[in-house]
Amino acid sequence: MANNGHNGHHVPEALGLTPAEITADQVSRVVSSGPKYRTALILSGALFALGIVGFVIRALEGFDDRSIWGYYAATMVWLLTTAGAAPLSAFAFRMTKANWRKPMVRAAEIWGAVTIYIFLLLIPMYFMIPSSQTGADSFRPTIWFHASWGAPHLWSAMGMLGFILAAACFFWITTVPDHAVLRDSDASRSWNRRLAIRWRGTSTQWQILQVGIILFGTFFFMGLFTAHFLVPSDFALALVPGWKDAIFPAYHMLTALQGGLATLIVTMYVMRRWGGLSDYIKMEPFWALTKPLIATCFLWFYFWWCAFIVYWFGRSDGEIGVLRYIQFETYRPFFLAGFLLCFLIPGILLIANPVRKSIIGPTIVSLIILVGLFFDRIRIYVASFGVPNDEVGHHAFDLSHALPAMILPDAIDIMMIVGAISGAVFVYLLVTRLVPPISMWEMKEDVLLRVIRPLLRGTYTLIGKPR
Amino acid sequence: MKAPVVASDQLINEELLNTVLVTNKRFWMLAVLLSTGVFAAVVVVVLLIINGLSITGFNRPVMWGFYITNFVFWIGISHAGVMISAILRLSQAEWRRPVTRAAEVLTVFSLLTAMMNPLIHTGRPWRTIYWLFPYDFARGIWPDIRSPFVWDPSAVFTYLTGSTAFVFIALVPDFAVIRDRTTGWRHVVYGALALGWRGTPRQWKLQIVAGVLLSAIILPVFVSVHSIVSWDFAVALVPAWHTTIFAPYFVIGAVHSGVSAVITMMAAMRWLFKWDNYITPDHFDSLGRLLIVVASAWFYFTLLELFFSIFYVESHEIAVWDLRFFQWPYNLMVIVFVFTGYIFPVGLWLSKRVRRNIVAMFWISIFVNIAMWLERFLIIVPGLQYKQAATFSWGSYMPSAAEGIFVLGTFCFVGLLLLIFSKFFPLIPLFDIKEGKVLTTEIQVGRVGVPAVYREE
Amino acid sequence: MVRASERDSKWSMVVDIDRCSGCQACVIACHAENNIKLPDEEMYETGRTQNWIRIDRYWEGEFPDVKARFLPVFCQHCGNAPCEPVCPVYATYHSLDGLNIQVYNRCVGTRFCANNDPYNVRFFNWWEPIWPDIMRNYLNPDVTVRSKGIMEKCTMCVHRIRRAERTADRDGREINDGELMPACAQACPTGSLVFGDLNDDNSKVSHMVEDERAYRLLESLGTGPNVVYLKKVDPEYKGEAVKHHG
Repeated sequence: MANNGHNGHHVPEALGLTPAEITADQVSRVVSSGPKYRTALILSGALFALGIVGFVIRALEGFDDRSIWGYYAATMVWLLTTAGAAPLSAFAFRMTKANWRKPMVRAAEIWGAVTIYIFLLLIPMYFMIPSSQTGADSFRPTIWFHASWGAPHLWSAMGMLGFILAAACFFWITTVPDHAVLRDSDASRSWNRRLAIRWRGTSTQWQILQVGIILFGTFFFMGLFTAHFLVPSDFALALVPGWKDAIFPAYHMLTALQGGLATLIVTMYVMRRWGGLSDYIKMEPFWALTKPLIATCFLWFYFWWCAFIVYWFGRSDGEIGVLRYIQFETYRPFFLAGFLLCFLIPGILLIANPVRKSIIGPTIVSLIILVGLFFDRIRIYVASFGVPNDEVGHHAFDLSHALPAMILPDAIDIMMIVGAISGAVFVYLLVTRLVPPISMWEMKEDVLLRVIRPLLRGTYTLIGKPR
Repeated sequence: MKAPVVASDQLINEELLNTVLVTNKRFWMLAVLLSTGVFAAVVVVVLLIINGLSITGFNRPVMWGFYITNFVFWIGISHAGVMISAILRLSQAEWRRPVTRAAEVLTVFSLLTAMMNPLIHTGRPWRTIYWLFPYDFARGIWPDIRSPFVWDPSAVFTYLTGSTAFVFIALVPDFAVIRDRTTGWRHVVYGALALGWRGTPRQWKLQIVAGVLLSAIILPVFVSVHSIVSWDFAVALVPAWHTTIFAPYFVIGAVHSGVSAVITMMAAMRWLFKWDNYITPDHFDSLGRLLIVVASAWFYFTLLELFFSIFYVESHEIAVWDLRFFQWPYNLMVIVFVFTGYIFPVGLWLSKRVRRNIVAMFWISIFVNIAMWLERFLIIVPGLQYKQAATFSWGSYMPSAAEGIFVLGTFCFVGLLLLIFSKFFPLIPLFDIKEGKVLTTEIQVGRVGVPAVYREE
Repeated sequence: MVRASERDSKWSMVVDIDRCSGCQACVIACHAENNIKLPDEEMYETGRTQNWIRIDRYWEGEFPDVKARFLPVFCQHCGNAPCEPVCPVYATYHSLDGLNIQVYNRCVGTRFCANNDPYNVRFFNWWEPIWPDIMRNYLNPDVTVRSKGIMEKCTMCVHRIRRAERTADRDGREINDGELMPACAQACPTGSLVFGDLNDDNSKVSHMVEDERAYRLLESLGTGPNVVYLKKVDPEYKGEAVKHHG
C-alpha cells in the first residue's frame, strides 16, 4: 500500500542544493544584509523607542494603581505566549525525528533568544502585584500560600529566570556546529570562536550535541510549563477573588503551544517572502505544522469548555461572578473575539485541505490566531488587573457584589503595545546577525538522508531515520 | 527502526493465524482460571440483586465507592485502543502495526466491562438500563439532559459503536485471509464477515479511507468520553471533586493507564502465543518513550489539581487533602500511588535497558495500573467522606467482600473476552504487518546503512 | 399541583438555634410520621441510619469550658438545589411552592443526588424495609413505604401540605398561618422550628426571616436554601468556635 500522494498526503520534494552551496549561502547572509533588512530594523527600532517613551510616561504615574497597567501586562504575556513558546516546535519535532522540521528549526530557536527581552518586560510587573503578606486579616490567595518572605515576587522571578536561561541555552547549543562553520569561514568573528566551544565535529561531539539538545530542550519545555504556571497564577488568578481554576495554567500552556506554532508559521512566511529563503523553506513545514495547529484550535475550545461547564454547573457566588466578569458581561467583546479568532474561525478554515496545503493559507490562519490570542490575553490580564485591591480584602470570595468596569486602552497603552511588540521583532532581527537563519548542519543532514526511489509503480521520497 | 519482521507473507499468515487454528495448553489454563473469577463475580451480582446494596460497604455520606472507581478505571483502560490506533495511525508511526488490533479490542471489551459497573452499582440494573433510553413517552418525561449521567452513557455508547466499527474495518482483510483458509461453516461465517473482500485496489483504498476517517472522527469522541466521566465528579459540589482540571486530567490519566495495559497485554501475548518475531523489544521501547511523556503530563495535571484545591486555603478542601495525605489508610495509598504511578515507572523508563526488557516492562505496567486504580479511589472516596465543613456528617468507607470480588471479576472478564477473541480472530493485523514490511527499507549514507521508510510521519 | 401555583405559596421553615435544646423530639416525630425505617445496631455500625431530620451536635470550647451546640439539619429545599440537575431521570425536582420533591417510583438509585447534596440529608434504602409485626399497624397510610434501592429525604411533610390545601379549597378559603405544621415542628417542645408561607407577608416565618440573626446553611455555595436559621444568642460567646465532633 504505497499511498503517498494518493490519499491527500503531501509528497515531499528533494532539496535542490548541495551541502557546500548551503554553507556558502548561509555564511554570506550573516556577513551582509539587504535593504529590506535595514528598513525593518530601523522601523522596529523606532517603534520600540516610542514604546519606551510610553512606558516612561506611564511609569511616572506610578506602579501602585494596577489597573492602568493592564494592557502592558496583556502585551507582555501575549509575547510570552507567542514568541516565548515558538522554540518548542524546534525541540518537539526533533524529538519525534520529523524530517520536515529541518528548514524551520532555526527560525523557531531565535525566538528563544528573544525570551530574555520578554523577561525584561516582566520585571516592572513585579512592582504592580501585591505581596502575599498584606496583613493577617486580608489574606490574599496565591499559589505561595503563607510563604514567609519574597512571595510571590522572588520565587516567581526565580522560576522565570530558570525558564529564560533554559531558552537561551537551548538556542545556543543548537547553533554550536553552525558557529564552528562560521569560525572556520572568512566571516569569522570573535563570538563565533567562543560560542563554538572548540567544535571539531568528532563523533563524540555529535553525541554530546544530541544529549545537550535533549537536555536543554527538556529544560526549556519544563521551563515553559513553569512560566505558564507562575504567570497566570500570580498575575491573574490570585488577583481576582473567587477565581479558583485549576485548569487555567494548562489552558495558558495550550494557548502558548498554539501561539508558538502560529508565530513560527508567520516567521517562516516572512523569511520566505522577504528574507529570500524560499529555496529552503518550502510548503512541507507549513503543511506539517498545521496538523498540531488545528489540534490546538480545537483544544482551545475543550480547555475553555472544561472550566466553563464546571463553573456554570457549580453556580457558587464566586464562580458566577468570575464567569460574568471575564466572559459574559464585562469583558464579553474581548472574550467573543478570542473565541472566534482562536477557535472557531481557524478551526473551520484549517479543516479544509486546500487551506492547509498552501503557504499563504496557514499564514493567514496564524495571523488570525495571533490577533485572537491578543484579545484573549486582554480579557484575562486587563480584567485581572482591573480588580482593585480593596475588594480582595473585604469580600474575599466573590465578585457577586459589584463587577469592576471594563478598561479600554488609551494612547499611552497603544504606544506601549506597539512598542513592546516591535521590540521583540527588533531583537529577533538583531539575533539573525549572529547566526544564519537556517540551521546549516541540519539542512545538510536532510540532503544526505533524502533519497528518491522507485517502489511498485511509482517513485517516492525515502527518508532515512537514523536510530 | 529495524524492520520487525523478516518473514515471508506465507510465514506471517501461518504464525499469526496460529491462535485461531491451534489451541495450546497455556490457553486452557488461563481460560479456566479466568472463568472461575468471572463465575465468582456472577455469584456476587446475584447476591447483590437479592439482598440489595446492604451487602456492600456504602453508607451515608460515601454513596459511591469501588464500583464507580472500577467504572472509571475501565473507561480509562479503554482509552488505550484509540490512543494507539488513531493517533499513531494519523501520525503514521511505523511501530504501531503489531500493537493496534490488540489495543482496539481491549478498548471494546473494557468499555463493555466498564458499563457493567454503574449498572451493578445502582443495585437494580434493570431499572437503570431502562433510563438509559428516553423511556416515558406516554407522560412525556424524558431523561434530564442536564445530568452528567445522561451525557455519560451517550458518550460511552458512541465510543463503543465507533471503536467497534474501527476494529471491524481493520479486521476485514484478515477475515478474507481466514475465509480462504477454512472450510465448512467457518468458511461461510468468515466469508460473510469479510464482506466480499478480494483485495482490489479500490477495496484497499476504501479500507484506508475508512480507517483514516474513523481515526479522525473517533478522536473527539475519545477525548469527550473521559471528560464526561470526569464531569460526573467535577460538576458536583463535593470538595476536591469540584475542580476545572478534571477533564484533561482524567483523559491523560486514562491514556497513561490504557497504554500501560497495552504493554501488559503485549507481554502476555508474547508469552502465550510466542510471537517473538512480531512483538519485539522495539515496540516496548517506543511505548515506554511515549509513556514518559504521557505520565509526565499526567503528573503535571495531578500537581495542578493539588495546588488549586488548596489555593484558597478553604477549611473543607484542606480537610480532604489532609485525609488523603496524612490519614490511614489513604496515606499509604498515596505513597503507593505516587511511587508506582509516576516516580518508579518514569525513572525506570528513562533507561533504555529497562524499556527493552519485556519482563520488567510487564511488571512496571501492572504497577502503573495498580496506581491508577488507587488514584481513582483516592479521588472518589475521600471527597465524599469529608463533604463540606459540617463535620458531624463526616463518614468513612470500608469496602465489603462483595465489592472486592466483583472488581477482581471484571479483570477476569476482560481477560476471558480477549482470550475468546484470540480464538476466533487474529490479534495482530496480518495486512498491516505485510504493509510495514514493504514500506521499510534501508538507505546508504556514507559508510552506514540507515533504516528508512517510504513516507514522512 | 396546579392549586399550589394558584396559591403562590413558598413553604419554608425557620429554625431558631437559640431555642433548640437538642431533645430529638423532632427526630422521633419524623420517624413516626414518615414511615422511616427504625434504626438498629447494624444500621448505626454501617453508617446507614435514616433520619430525615437530625440534630448535629458540635462541641464548642476546650475542656472544661465546653458547650454542646445543637443544629437541627434536614433537607434545605434549596431554591437552586444541587441535587436536582444531576438526577438523570427527574426523580427529584422543584415544585412550584418551593419544595424539593423526591419521586420514589422514578428513582433508579444512582445516588448522585446524595453526593451532590452538601448537607448530607438524602438517604438511600440499603435494605428492604422491614418493621416488627407489632409496628406494622402504626405505619402512616399517607406516606409511601420505600423499597430498597430508592433515595428518600425530608418532604417538609408534603402530604400534610396537600391535605391542608384540599381542606382550604373545599372551604373556599386561604390556608391560615399556623394551620399546618410538619411533624417535627409540631413535636418541637421549645418552638424552635417554625413552619409557614414566605409569600404570605403576615406569616410568622416572614417576620422571622427579617431577623438580624438570620442566615442560611453553606450559603456561599449558591444553593439558595429555603430553610432559614436564626443564630444562637450567646452572651458568653468568645470569637471563633472550635468545632469537633465525636
